[in-house]
Amino acid sequence: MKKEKKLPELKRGKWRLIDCFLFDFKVSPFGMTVFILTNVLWNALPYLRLFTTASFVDTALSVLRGDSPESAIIFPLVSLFAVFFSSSLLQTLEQTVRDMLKTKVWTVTKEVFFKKQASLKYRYIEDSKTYDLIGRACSEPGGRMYDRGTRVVWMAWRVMFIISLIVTVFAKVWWSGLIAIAAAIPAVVMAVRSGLDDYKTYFEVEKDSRYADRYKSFVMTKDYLEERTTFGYAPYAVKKWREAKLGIDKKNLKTQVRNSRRENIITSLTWVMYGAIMISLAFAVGRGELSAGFFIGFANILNTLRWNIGSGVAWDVRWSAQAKKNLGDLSEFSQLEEQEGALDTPADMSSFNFGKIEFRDVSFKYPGTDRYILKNCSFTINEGEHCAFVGVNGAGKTTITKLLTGLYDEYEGDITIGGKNLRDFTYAEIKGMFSVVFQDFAKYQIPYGDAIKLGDVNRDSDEAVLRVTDEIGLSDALEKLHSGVRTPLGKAAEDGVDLSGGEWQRVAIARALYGNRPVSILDEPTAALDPIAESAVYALFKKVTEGKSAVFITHRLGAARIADRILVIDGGAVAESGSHDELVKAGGIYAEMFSTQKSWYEDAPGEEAVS
Amino acid sequence: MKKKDINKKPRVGFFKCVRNTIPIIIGASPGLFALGCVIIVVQSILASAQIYVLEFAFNGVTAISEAGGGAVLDIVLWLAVYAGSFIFATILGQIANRTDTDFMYRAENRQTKQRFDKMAKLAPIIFEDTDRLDDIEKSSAGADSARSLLNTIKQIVLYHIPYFVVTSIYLASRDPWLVASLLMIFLPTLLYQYLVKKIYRDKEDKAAPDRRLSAHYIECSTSEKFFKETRILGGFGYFFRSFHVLWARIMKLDRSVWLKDNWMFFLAELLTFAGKMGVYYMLFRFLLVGRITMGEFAAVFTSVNTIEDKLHQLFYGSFASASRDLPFIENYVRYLDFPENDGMEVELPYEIGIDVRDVSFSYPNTEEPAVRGVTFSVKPRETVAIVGENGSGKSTLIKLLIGYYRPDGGDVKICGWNTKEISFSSVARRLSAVYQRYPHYALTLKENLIIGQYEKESTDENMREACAMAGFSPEEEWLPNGFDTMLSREFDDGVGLSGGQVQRVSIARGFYRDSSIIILDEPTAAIDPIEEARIYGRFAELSRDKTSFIVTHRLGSVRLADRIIMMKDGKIAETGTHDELMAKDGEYKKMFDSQRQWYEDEA
Repeated sequence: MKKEKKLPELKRGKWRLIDCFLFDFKVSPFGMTVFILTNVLWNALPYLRLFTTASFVDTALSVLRGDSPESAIIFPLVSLFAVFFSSSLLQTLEQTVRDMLKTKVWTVTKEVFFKKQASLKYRYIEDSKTYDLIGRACSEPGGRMYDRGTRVVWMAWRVMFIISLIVTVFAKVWWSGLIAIAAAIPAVVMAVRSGLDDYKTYFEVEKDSRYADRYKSFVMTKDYLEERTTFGYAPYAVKKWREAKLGIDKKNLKTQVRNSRRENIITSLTWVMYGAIMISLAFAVGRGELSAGFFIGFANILNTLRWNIGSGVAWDVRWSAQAKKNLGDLSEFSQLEEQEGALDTPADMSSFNFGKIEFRDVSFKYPGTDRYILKNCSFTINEGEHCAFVGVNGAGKTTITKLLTGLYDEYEGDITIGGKNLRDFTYAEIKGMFSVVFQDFAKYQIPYGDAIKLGDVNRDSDEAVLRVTDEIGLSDALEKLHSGVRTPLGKAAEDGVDLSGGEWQRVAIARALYGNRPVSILDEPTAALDPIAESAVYALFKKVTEGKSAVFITHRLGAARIADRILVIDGGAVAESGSHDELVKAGGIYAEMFSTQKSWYEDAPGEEAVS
Repeated sequence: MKKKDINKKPRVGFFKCVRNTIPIIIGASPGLFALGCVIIVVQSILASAQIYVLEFAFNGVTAISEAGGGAVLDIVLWLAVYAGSFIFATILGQIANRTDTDFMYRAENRQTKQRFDKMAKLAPIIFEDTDRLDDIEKSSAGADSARSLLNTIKQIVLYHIPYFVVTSIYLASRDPWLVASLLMIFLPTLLYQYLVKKIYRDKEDKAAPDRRLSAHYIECSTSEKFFKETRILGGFGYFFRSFHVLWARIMKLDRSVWLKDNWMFFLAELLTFAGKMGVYYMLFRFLLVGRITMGEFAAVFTSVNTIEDKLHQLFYGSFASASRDLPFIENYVRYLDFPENDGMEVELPYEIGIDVRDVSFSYPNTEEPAVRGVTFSVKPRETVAIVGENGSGKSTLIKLLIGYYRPDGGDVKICGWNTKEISFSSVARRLSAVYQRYPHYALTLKENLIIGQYEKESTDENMREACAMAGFSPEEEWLPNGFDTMLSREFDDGVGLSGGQVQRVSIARGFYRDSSIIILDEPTAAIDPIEEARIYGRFAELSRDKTSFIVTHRLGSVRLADRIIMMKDGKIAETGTHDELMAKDGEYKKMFDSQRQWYEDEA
């Protein structure tokens, strides 16, 4: 791999807002420091404005009274302008620092999450609950991380601002300070309550919304179009949706009304506070303790204080409450286990003579389920042999592949390759051993050459790409691509070219061929293929794996016949094993399945007479 | 394998956007809307009146500091009025908030209902047009945006405009020159807003394809579709590096844009700053020469920031959100304008015969016709199998037969009714089907069945019967709560189903529905052969008194059909019974043999 800066670790465990701040700080210590500094300066500005405003007004008044010459206004005016100017400057500076920080945090966070996601144990991907969790935790992670980090600084700023201003007021007229405190405390308490209520409702409603949204999607999305129009269930779904939706609206509205009431009180309280302080200051002006300039200056800054206590704190609380949900997802996500060696490139196993692969009394159930998919399953696959696994759906054929390729390792019993326990191989070695063409093979929307070279990431040979292209029968398709092997496939890239289903499948097989691993596995490729294409895929796969070990997984028994040996999986274990002829002769499950399928293609006795 | 040409969708003008969406929203509750409007006007007046109040309060303060006391009560009074008016405004705001929320919920529900109703009237063919599909998908966001636009308009017309008018009147009444101060703050902001919007638009056009591709790279090693394969291939490095390079490019573009933006912002701030300087100096001069009083001076002086805030609200808030909303509203408006299904509702007889004459059909935006020049007829109670390779037009033909699509050329007549003249729902009332791309519903097993025909009363018996047809019972499939088991792990106590189980549920749904035409469109891909044989057997039995169609590429299962239609390249290649076709030694036999060879004894 190229030299890459080491990415910071994602903390495992509970995530709080402060952790997001720390993460951002780790990503960009310089950016964060400058950001904090600009905020400290920003904090000081209102005070400078207070003093300059006061001196400007007072001087203006004194000029007006004729106590000072007109020129006396110059210094206060200039300093007032200077404050405004530095405020503009600081604002731009802060914006730039924030943009810098954002770019950095976005990039790094995206990469950290990307990496973590790709390293997770496979079982989380197949479990729709954890898969959804991952989806939620990893949507826009950069933007969220940045928002939270900077928001923490702002919240700290708000607290500092409120406290320092109350202290300032306290110093001028002490009992005004008391008024401020008396108003601020209940306001903050109520704001916190509103935020928590919001959070609670959000949770309650979220579940109901998911219920309602199902019905919405039945009515609105293309996936359901054919059945929707045929069965005409739209009115039913709309009715169900409406019932759920009205319930949700009601709950939301109830919370909102309650919070509105609180907000009314908070705002009134802060305005009373504002009025009371101003009045007390007016008396101070009357007694000559405070100049008119300071009074006007305070009118401005106290308005800011009022806003920060009344609305600012409520905002922060509500925002934090909302962030809590995603932080919960993030905490859970961070604690998902990673697969060791998940990201490693395959080791070179081409000269590995494994002799045989053996399952001994392997039992397995998917994590979180009770039913054993495999139960005391034992068999061997010999090197150089073509084996077919057959059996009804859900018998556990595909599960065997998942265990062999290390996607799941929570099995009981032993799996050995060349006498060595599968658990003792590194993941890189396991990757080097198998190439798999999955039933739902990936359609990588990358350049054609790259899509094939992924078969062996340690080798970069255009020549080999052309060779396998030829072997797999994709030469004609390749010729039609506008930029040869560099043509992006699919629609993700602008100049991409989409392939037909059969061509995509061949690309997947070509990839396996390019990989040249000791064992090739073909997992039921025929579901979406017509019979002629189906025969072709099996024949092709047989041809390209000639002389090597290969495993076919299928429920189409005709196809299994090309294997040297057929293993019938039933009830989680190998029920029968042998060549086609042996199994037919034995008259067991296989024989029954085969004759059922065969009968479709045989002439019925009655019809025989006709023909 | 041709490059897709990107044809721009027709633009929808601003006024059309407003005209076609706003009445629906307001209509949800004109009363609540009017109340909201009144409140907002009052708020605006209160906000603009504050400058008057301030003037009186400050006049009082200066009087005190000049005269050394006396008029304190006056100030107290004005301050009380000042704070009181704010409290009043806030309470009004909360009332507005509540009524607005209520109004918005109602409007949303009304809009959604309208979108649903529209959906029911759309011809299915519309979904084959990707541009239109895009409109449909974004129509939800469009409906939200339309509400947001209405709010913005309300805000501008009823709040900001009155505010600026009243403030201008105040300033003009004190001194006409003061109105200039508004302009000095106004112009730089306007200029900045105009310039910046252009930069961002240009950037988004440039960055969008890269963003899409970068998302695909992540998908390639993290999404379910790719995960296991990429892991076993060890392909993470490739995708990570590709992502890294692309993302760096996106960020570089980003940086150049925000640097430009910040520069312009700074310049605009400087201009505003100069404007403010001008205003302050003007105020001072006017005060000195006695053109304005101290109270007027202080009132304007403290209001400058408020005016600036309101301007920012207008430009960065209202205008920006309107320009964000408009593209989505266009999707929404186009969607509402889609042509609707215009067929007559007719009552078809129970026994269905279909006559197909020289029918041709192409999907939107494609050149190759999917079906060309097909002619045949189907008698009531006949079982017809349509076979052929992938892409030979089997599924399309089926959909033409039942009036789901209407032919471009030729006619399909169902019991004498031309499908161009009758609605699809007329046919659908007689029809049941299991389609190739059967969906899965995250509902209970019971609901999964009854949406097949919700008008029918569901009983344990008829549900069980439908399930038995599809070869299962809730008990065999380990469903913990029988028919009430939720078939999705997304919801409490739900169970996840395998592909085969989902398929069987969808077959059961098809059988649950009473029908006189039934279609099985390759529904057995995920089901094992023995089960498949049983399902086809039961289908044959069930469909004896129905007109039925089987679409498949697995020829073994079609022999029970009365007639087989072999499709090739959108045309009928051969037609006849299995034996006739085998005797013909043509396409059908070739295909049949290729499949049969797997089951022949060792050659």
